[in-house]
Amino acid sequence: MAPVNQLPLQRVPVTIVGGYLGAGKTTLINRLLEDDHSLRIAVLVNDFGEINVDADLIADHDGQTLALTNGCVCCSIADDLGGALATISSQAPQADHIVIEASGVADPGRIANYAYSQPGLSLDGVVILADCETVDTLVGDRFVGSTVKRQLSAADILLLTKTDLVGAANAAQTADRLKQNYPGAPLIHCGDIAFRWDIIFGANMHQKALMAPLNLHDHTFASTSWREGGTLNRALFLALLRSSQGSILRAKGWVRFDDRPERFTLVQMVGNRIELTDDGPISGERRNGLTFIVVRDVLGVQSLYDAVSSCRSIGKMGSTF
Amino acid sequence: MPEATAVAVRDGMIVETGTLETMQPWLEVHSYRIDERFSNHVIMPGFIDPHLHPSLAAVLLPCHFITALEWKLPDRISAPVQGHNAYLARLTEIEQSLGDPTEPLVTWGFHKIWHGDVNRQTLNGVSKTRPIFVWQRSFHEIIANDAAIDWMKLNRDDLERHPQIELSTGRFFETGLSVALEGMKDYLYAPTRFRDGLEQVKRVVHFGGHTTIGDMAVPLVDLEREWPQLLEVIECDDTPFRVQMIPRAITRGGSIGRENEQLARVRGLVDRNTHRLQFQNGVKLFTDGGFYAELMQLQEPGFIDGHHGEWLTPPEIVEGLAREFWNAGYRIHVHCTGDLGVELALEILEKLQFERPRFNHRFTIEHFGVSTPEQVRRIADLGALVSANIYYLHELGDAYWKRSIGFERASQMARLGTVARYGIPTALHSDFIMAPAQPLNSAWVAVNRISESGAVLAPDERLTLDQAMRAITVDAAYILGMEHEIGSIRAGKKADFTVLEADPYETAPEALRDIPIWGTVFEGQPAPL
Repeated sequence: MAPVNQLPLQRVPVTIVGGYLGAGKTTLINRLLEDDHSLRIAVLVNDFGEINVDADLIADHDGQTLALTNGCVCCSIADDLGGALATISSQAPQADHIVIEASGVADPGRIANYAYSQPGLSLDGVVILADCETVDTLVGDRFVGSTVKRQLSAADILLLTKTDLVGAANAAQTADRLKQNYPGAPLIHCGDIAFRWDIIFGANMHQKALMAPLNLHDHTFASTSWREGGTLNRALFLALLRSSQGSILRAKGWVRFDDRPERFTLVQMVGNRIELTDDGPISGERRNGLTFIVVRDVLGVQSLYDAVSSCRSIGKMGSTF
Repeated sequence: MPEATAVAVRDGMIVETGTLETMQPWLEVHSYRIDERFSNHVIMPGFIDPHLHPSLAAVLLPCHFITALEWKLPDRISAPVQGHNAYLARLTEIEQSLGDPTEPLVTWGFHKIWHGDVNRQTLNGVSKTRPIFVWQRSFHEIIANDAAIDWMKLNRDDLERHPQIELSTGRFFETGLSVALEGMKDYLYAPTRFRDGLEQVKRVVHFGGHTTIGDMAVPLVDLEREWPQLLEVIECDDTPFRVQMIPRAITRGGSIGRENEQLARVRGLVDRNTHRLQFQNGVKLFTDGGFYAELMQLQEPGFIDGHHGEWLTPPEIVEGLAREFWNAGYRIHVHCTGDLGVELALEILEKLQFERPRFNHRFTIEHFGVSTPEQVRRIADLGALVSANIYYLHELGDAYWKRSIGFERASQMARLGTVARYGIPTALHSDFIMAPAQPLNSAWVAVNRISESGAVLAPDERLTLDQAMRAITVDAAYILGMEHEIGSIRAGKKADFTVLEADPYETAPEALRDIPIWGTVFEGQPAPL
């Protein structure tokens, strides 16, 4: 596998966090700023007043920006997302990951488009929170129903929050309805505070952590790394990813496709979002390799491994890369 | 309406209205001078537009206008330019008139319905070297030539991968527009340009015959940056009008549970008051999105193409803020463009009336694009008022009929006839720069309901001339809570007049907007145009 410094372009990944008022966005962001996830995260929020982190963690506060001792920063959007992103980008060292909180009535898809295209940034994914207690009512609300539905449709990953408040049976019912209506996005249950950073932000799939062995022992999720030589058939591979939406939470890595065997393609999948980006000519150091996080009881890691292998094309260029 | 042939003024205030004969008791006691300069003119109460945006206009007025419909501005008339070739001819003319070859050319008013397909290549044909930005009428799209794309110093690779930027055509739209505006920001908001824009706004307001306006959402972006400039340009002896400043009820996110902070902020603003710039007890809230941008929230059956409108503020936050200001006795103005926006405002008002009834509260529906007749009745029941941008009907009536919402609802936009039949006090506003800041033009649309193509749309919704004249004077004053001071010519009010060359009541309704304006009198001081 390639060392980090050989990657041609280092864009900071951006996650959009959306969901209607009360879905738990602020709780998530407060936890994100305080938790030990070993990433330097820059968070852009609409309303600074809601940020409530332990005073001991605050290193500096200048009105627009809050710097924490763990390296995270929080910046107020104040109606100027472009300006806030510029502020964040100008800070050294660069953040490992940027999180943008979408306002309760925003269309996160639009913000995602914006983040997608900003210089130096890349879109990691859109995470939508749905409050288990209220989401059904909101979807039917005559004022905000269409807004909430649009937000849910924009999700690459859905987080069902406050599941601890409604009982397991009710949570499962709500989850089923959401899965039915938004089948492409994997759905993760969260209690009041249990956010899975590794899943939400791909914490251990970051450029700097990607090469370390992924150690995910969990009763819900499993991970696997696929390492084989040769080229993959693009159409077969894409079809595999698409048919696994909802069960593959994340996939990342580099492969060679048979239609462009002399170049690497960066594969990134976050739930509903699949992106294939040309990543430059093959070099002696880099090899095919993909890392997956899957929902354990839906997709077995061995069968996924085999399925990827079956996308290999036969009889094309040598398999030494 | 009663008529008078003389008005006595002292220290900027009206002492008596009537005839020279009826005011003899005053004249016998006090020294006086008779000024006959207006003996051949018609003196109206000073015109009032309760809803425009001087700071936004200051950003846009320095642009070169090329518009499908005529825009009369004090220093220029933007003649109607329709058709693709005519558009490019006018743009080329402007380009060639500019001295400095590196100065960007920003033009506003383009609309493809009237001007056809203008793209990067077309604009390169106008100039390869000068940055040219074509800002669409609705503000939601900018088209740039190659020089402009280079001038913004944006990375072409980044632009290439943006889904809402088309480098091939030079179009920046939706979120792509923000990228362009970011690149233009330092130029558009440069202090000297803003100041120059405010000077133009000052002339525009005078030119329309206004003596009072409402700045219906303060600040535009940053009060600390805008206020010193407003003071410098507006608060001076040669400004023949006053501005009621209506603050936004919410700045920067703001959220549930902390409405009291917003109330405290708004309360503190009155400390800034000067003679001409006055915060009073009005406050501004927003429900749904822009009307020109087709982002109003509609009840079923919605838009023909099935797209959805937007909420500018989450409904729960609107309600929380409305409650806070309602309970503090404020006059609440709510931006509502579509009938679902109106519905939300009325739902909230109904709750507030149930919780804590108020009379004379002046809760006002602002803009009033699409509504239903039943909503008008509720507006009356709840004691609310209407301030309408009637120009929507003139400019967008045909376009929205054919492309957006169909004939029934498009023809009944701003249904002011129904509003008048329920006896609801109503003002006309321009929301300048959404419509020309010319009260006689707004009144002309209201009494004729003539669309851009010349069709009369929903004649039952026309106002009478008298209703329209009240809507730009005394009823507009009522909307701003200033009817005790301005809006009519009677003893005790400010001596604010709009002086016309002809009597609107003697003029054919179709010619109302063509009545020449001599100028105004502001607090007793004549201010000719």
